[in-house]
Amino acid sequence: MDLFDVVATIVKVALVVGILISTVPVLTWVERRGSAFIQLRLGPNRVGPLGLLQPLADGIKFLFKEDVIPPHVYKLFYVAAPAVSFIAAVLAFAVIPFGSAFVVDGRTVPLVILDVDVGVLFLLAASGMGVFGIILAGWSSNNKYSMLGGLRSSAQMISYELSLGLAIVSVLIYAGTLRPVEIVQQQIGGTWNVFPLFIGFLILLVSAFAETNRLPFDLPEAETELVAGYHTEYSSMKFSMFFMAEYINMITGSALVTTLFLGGYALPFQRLVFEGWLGLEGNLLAVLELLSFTAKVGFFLWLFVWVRWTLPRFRFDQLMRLGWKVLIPLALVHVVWASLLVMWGVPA
Amino acid sequence: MSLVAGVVLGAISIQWVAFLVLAVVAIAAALVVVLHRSPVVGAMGLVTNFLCIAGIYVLLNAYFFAALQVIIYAGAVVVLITFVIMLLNLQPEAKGGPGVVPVALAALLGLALIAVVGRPLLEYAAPEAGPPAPDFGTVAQVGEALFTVYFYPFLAVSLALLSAMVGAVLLAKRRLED
Amino acid sequence: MPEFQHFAALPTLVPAAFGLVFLVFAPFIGSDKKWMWAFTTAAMGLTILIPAIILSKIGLYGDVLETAGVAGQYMVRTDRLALWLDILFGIAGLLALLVTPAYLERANSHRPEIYPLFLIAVSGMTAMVGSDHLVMIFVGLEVLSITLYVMCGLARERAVQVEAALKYFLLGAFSTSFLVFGLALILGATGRLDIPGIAGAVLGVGAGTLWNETLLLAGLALFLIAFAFKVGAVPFHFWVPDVYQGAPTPVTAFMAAGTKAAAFGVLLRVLYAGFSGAETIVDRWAPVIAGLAVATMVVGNVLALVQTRVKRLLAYSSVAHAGYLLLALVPATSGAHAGEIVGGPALLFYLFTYTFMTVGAFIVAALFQSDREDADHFAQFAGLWHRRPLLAAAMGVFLLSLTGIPPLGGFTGKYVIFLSVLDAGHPVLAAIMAIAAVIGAAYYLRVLMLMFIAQPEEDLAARLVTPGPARLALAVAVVATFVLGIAPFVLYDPLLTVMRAAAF
Repeated sequence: MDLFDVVATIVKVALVVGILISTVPVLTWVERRGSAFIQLRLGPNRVGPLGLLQPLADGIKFLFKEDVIPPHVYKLFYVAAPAVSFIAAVLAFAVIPFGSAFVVDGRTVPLVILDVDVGVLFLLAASGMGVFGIILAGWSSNNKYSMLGGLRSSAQMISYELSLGLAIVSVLIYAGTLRPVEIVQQQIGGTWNVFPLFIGFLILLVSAFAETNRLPFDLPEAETELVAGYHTEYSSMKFSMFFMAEYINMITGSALVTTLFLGGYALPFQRLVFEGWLGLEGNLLAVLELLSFTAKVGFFLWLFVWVRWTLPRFRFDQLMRLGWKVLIPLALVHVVWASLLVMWGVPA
Repeated sequence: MSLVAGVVLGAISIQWVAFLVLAVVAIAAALVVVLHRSPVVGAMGLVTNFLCIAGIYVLLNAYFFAALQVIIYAGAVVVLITFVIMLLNLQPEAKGGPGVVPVALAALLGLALIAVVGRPLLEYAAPEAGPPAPDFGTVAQVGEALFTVYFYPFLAVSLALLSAMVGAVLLAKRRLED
Repeated sequence: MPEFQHFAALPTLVPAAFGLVFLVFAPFIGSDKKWMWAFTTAAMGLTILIPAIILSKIGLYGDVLETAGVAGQYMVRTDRLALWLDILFGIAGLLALLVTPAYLERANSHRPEIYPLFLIAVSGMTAMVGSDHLVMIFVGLEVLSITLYVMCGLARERAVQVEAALKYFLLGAFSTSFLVFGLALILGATGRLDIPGIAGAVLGVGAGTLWNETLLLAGLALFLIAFAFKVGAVPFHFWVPDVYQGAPTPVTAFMAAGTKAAAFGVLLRVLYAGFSGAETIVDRWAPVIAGLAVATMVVGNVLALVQTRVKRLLAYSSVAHAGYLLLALVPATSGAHAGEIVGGPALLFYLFTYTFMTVGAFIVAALFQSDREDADHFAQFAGLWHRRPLLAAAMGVFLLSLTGIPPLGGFTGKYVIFLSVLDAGHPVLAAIMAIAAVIGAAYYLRVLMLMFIAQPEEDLAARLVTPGPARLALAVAVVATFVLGIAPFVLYDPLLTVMRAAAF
């Protein structure tokens, strides 16, 4: 670990956090315009061309709003909750490889912040901590709607954590490693995991929707149900932090699905076309891989928005029944399937 | 401040400082769990404690166990505990609690335990271990140990979990069809 | 592929497998509990049979079957000690199972889950005693404990049962934390968690080095605390009366016999094989065991004098008997076997007789139910001889045996322990045991007089129904008590070889 590595890591961290935070306004714009077009209307188009500066206006609004801490809340947790949610959401992205590696001055800089042996577990651990943000928000607000919203949301999250984990486990069994970098490299060398492990892909996708509290699983924050659920008592920057945490969770969830099932930063037919026929390599290939990763994550983010404005929401008991009685048994069977594939020597 | 100077001068290793910080926070959090009146604050203290223990595992090169500690303990066990607290709407303990005599007695016995266990630890002289093997604490190594050396305990633990699950369903079902 | 000695682990695998089969297929059988009971009883019978078969052949294998090499050194150790105890667990489970359906039906809490839990509990017990590695012992203890916590709280509509289960659970979890702390200290002191390794460190032979004696002793102390809790030794006995009284009586019978036997088996193995031989170490823990034994005998017997309910009385008598059993663990201080425990065979023999008489007594107590509650007050037992002579006779046999009157099993058991304590060179302890037994006679005789001489007070005894399986269980227990009293060598002689391969 010399100065070069330290600087490289700091630059990567700054870039990743910066991009994550600045993607959030873009996502809100996509959400508002996308939902508008789905609903046959126009959406915000006044602030800037195509309404592109709308998120900026929203951000300025949030910044200038009065930061109110209601007197009846438990101050310590009230203030800590959005921070916990936000930190957990950003931290989970640390193990995702968003590109292969750049070669700078003869030194290789791998495009992943934290490449540990237990990569995927780190992600699960960080996103597990995010539940506490919601629980604390719900409890500290001292408000029955918040409490119920917090309870429902955390119940939902821990229920779907199981199927999420089992779907991930099937990929881990198939790949034989917990390092995301290795998982991606195996998919580059072979086929993307979505083909042999299609059911797991679907289970992970559904669980990711439930984990991020997005429709059709957004009962805990539905306005018609519980005022605003666990963030009823929050306003201005603290509210926007929850908001950002939710969107960053979406990004991390999409990145996770991409990495585990769609080959991460791999280009389609990479070995054949790009490295073989076109003969690309080095930094140019790395840039293309980075773009490929962005495109895939962007597709899933659009999927999140698309599904939100298309499907009606689940009732809470339907939601729990789906999680426990359908997804978990299915995920268990899928784990057996992945083990069978390994036994038959499919991942060559 | 002298601590910082010591680290900078290379006199005290950063590991030692990290361990000190983690241990102090862990013990403080544990005290919060036991002493604070509000159960939710206690639960959050428990989370802090578990996170500090995970940090100590990282210092011991056991990354796998650190991740598991966070996922299982901090991320699942405490969430469920908090869940139950919120579901039952447990209120902070009323003022009062045990009087002076029980507390004094408990403190005395606790200190005696610490003295009995702590004294040999102070004179402890384990043989030099040297740096850990490169694959120490990796998932592969733990997995191999679990399925070879500790195979039978592994089976038995799954039995324990099974009976715990049976018990949980049995004791908590709302209506029992007899 | 490592060599797994599944044959050696059969006593553990068989009941666990049957329990699992039960859990998987029970939903398809529906709610016909008769079949479930029959299945479980058959499985329990198999659990007695298989160790017996292995026992008959074990001489051919050099008295011990062990996992070795990659497959977990010392994780499973099937020797005579483990096999005899496995048979004992099976017997305790079988006798308790015979009265379970009747009791639970009348208590209106006949949950079918209790059957696989019985099997899993037995499996945990066998795992605990059939191992030479502290990790496996701990895990087996956990399997046993968790299953028992659940079984104690089965009829959760009754507050007294929930209280019993909760008390057992909280105190048990607390004591388990002591156990784990002790294991950590032992690991720190010797670098090993397997008993041969610890023995090596203690004796300073082979590759063993003891890095810190005080740490080892502190670890041993915490270990002893955990197991003293499990057997109900004073001053860790506070849970025994409440839990024994609150739990369903068949479960209490199973606990009183099986858990005690399992815990004593572990104590015997760990102390005999792991911590014996070196003067300095033995001189530190021998007085502790002796002190625990004396306190337990005295307190158990004294507190039983004031009881008015049979289940609670039997609970305190259990505590007292734990005291007698602990005496067998005190090592000899001089002579040929200095520094070794000589009471192994005596301990096992007494465990067998104790099982038969205690389970028998609890089965009788289980029959006394009215309005879904236990109705075991002394008043219900008054004049039992006039109402149900056979039942009173059976109870009389058990009570006399518990007192230690010849020619019953209880007497021979106490006698054997008495002799072994004298053999170990502790005449004072033997004298205290005799005195405590005499004190103990008082409360047993009180119940006996109540049953045989007093006039009937309540009419519950007249309405009692003793179902067939319960009669069988009582008959077996009575016969066994007589046989062990008149011809103890039938069991004692085979037991003399039980410690042969317990050390190395």
